[in-house]
Amino acid sequence: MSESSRGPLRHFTCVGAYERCQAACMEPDRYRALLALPANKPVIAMGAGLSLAGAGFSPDALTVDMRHFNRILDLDQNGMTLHVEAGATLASLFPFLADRGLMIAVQPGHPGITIGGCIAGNIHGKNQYRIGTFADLVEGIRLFHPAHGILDLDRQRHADVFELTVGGCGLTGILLSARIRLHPEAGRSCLVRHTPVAGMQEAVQQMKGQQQHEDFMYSWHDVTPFGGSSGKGFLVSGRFVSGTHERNGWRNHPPLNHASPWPLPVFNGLTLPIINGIYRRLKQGYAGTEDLFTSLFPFAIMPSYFHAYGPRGFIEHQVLIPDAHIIDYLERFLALAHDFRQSFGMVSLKRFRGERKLLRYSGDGFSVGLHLPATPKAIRFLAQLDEIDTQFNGIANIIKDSRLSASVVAAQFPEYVQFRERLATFDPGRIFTSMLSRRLAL
Amino acid sequence: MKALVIGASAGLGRALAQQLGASGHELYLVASDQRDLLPLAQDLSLRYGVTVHCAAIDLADLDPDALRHQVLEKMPSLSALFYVAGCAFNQDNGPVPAVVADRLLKVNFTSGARIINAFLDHLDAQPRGLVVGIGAVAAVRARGDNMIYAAAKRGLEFYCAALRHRYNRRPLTVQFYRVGYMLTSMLGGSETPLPAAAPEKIAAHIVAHLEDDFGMRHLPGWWYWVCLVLKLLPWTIFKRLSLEAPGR
Ligand SMILES: Cc1cc2nc3c(=O)[nH]c(=O)nc-3n(C[C@H](O)[C@H](O)[C@H](O)COP(=O)(O)OP(=O)(O)OC[C@H]3O[C@@H](n4cnc5c(N)ncnc54)[C@H](O)[C@@H]3O)c2cc1C
Ligand SMILES: NC(=O)c1ccc[n+]([C@@H]2O[C@H](COP(=O)([O-])OP(=O)(O)OC[C@H]3O[C@@H](n4cnc5c(N)ncnc54)[C@H](OP(=O)(O)O)[C@@H]3O)[C@@H](O)[C@H]2O)c1
Repeated sequence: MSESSRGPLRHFTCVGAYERCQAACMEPDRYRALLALPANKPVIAMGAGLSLAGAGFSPDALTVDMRHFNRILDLDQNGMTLHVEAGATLASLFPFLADRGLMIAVQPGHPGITIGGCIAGNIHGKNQYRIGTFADLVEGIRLFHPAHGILDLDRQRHADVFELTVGGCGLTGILLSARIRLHPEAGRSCLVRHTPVAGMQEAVQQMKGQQQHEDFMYSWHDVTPFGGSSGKGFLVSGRFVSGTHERNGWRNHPPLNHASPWPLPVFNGLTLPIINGIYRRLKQGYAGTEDLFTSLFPFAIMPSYFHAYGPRGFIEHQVLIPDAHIIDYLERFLALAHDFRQSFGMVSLKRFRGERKLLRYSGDGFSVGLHLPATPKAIRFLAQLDEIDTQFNGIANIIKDSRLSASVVAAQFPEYVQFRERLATFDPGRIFTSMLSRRLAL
Repeated sequence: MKALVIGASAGLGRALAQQLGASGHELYLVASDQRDLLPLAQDLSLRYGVTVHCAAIDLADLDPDALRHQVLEKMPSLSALFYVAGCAFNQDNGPVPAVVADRLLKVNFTSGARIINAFLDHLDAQPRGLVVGIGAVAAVRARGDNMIYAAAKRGLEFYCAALRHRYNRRPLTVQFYRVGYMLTSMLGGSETPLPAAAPEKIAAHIVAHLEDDFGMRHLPGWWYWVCLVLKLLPWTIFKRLSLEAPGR
């Protein structure tokens, strides 16, 4: 198969634009085409392409765009499981499930994200402390690997490959479909409250006290000179309540066309402190009832946020720090940010509970999430932060950070080597490959 | 309405099946691969609560009477037939192997005509029978590209026009669409000299006009003007038109 016969070339850009390349792409719409992939050519699946790292493309690999494999295969309302093809987006499933009083309880921050992306990235929502991450919802997977054919995986059958696949960034093969555990629909609207906090450490204490009682909770911080030395901000807590279902957002949300940024970086070192300050003053103390869509996907309703970083883009860094170290860690983080006079588009905390496994972003502790304009200074800042993360036994979110290095990931994840070895045992040819897997030497 | 959609597994046929299902119509879906049809049937029946049957049939190896029997057994009051199936091959610009020519003619024309023919008396007996044929703008004027494909599409177009004439005093409606470029795997990601439409948009138009008796239409509508110009171009100019652009 020549390069051109493998599909036309397409430009791929991760959200944030830090990793990008041109690669061959196919968009199969029939099983015949999908299952005919050769067993000796580099390949990688792509869902909605909404990752913040180059997880679904690589210059040398054929990207298989899974958008047409998006059908609902079965719904067991008593057993509360949904069998669905991997290319289905959360937005396409939500109204269908809501009509039946059900929901997928873990919803990441954009409705266009696919089931395949949720599994491969072991994504989290805003309530992982109570519900867990997406891995906890996956009951079974149908996986295709050109050398192995179609495999049905779950915690009993091919348990080893199942474990590698959940949170495995698409490196074990192409997810065809999955059985997902559902929850009763929690509500159709959301009572949202923004409680001001004096700093990040206070947010941690408040989350420890309140997280049990809220359907979701995270915090937002102004880590700029206007936000004081500890990052003033607010806790966002939400409780699902009954109400009428607003369907428009699910059906007509604006696409996140992240490959077309604004020509100038409106978010930059000068503007971000002012924007953060205004945003904090506008939003803190807010309380109101929002429709579920707005409360679950604050970024989806303002796609221009992503364009405002301009052509150079932005980097997301997310690190999960164990409970025992979080206060000391935040002190170091804030001091480093202060020393660098680093500007952030967003600083946020989320609480996690769960088990650390392989390269998944899961475990007990607090997740610190940052958006930074992708400037050389930010890269230097993050390099130092990586060291602090590692000192405090943190693990970074590999599917969100487009500049993490193999050495940092190897130092942070005790099972890094095990992941690589198990992957190589399953697939000695290692044909599934992406910019992310190359960067992390997986 | 109870509808039979031939070529329902992908592209326009799949979009039509989805939109007919969403409007609550019972469906019988046909394409060549059960692996694509079953998930679609399951999806439509779960999402919209409609009954969906399906059968995998190779249109290049068709027994129309068997298909008729199979469909009417499941759907005795079938009232609409959509012939959407089509296939095109890049090598169709000169001599092609006989099997390729045969497939092009069958899938794009003769199997369509034979299937419609097999269901005609049944559809004519319905209070509001409907036949919808899907053709291509490639058939508007003969070019040295997609030659057998375009000829076959022209054949289907001619047959549907003849049916409309034959049944004009009967309740049976015959519609034919000359479709322009669509973003489906038939186009295979090729660059097109004029914009390609989303199959969902084309399907939405078709579903919104099921009641209309218009004979033939171009979709999207602006293709009417392009086709008119192509038809009127003097041969001295027409013969110089590029043969490189895909002419589905
Ligand atoms: C606005 C926004 C908000 C976000 N919020 C959150 C959040 O709250 N929590 C969170 O955890 N993440 C969040 N993310 C990140 C996002 O959830 C993950 O990156 C997710 O993996 C993206 O899914 P996708 O469908 O876009 O897949 P892609 O980005 O296309 O692919 C992601 C990975 O999944 C693999 N993959 C996709 N489909 C398949 C398949 N069928 N078979 C095998 N592998 C496959 C790819 O190979 C790749 O490794 C957010 C992203 C954005 C842009
Ligand atoms: N795409 C364009 O640019 C374009 C332009 C003008 C006109 N058209 C016409 O529009 C119609 C729909 O096109 P499309 O783009 O949606 O095509 P498509 O995506 O390739 O889908 C074609 C459909 O026809 C079925 N089919 C083809 N050969 C078959 C066979 N031998 N037996 C059974 N089913 C068969 C396919 O089923 P399988 O899955 O079994 O193959 C599929 O369901 C066609 O008539 C096409 O000629 C298309």
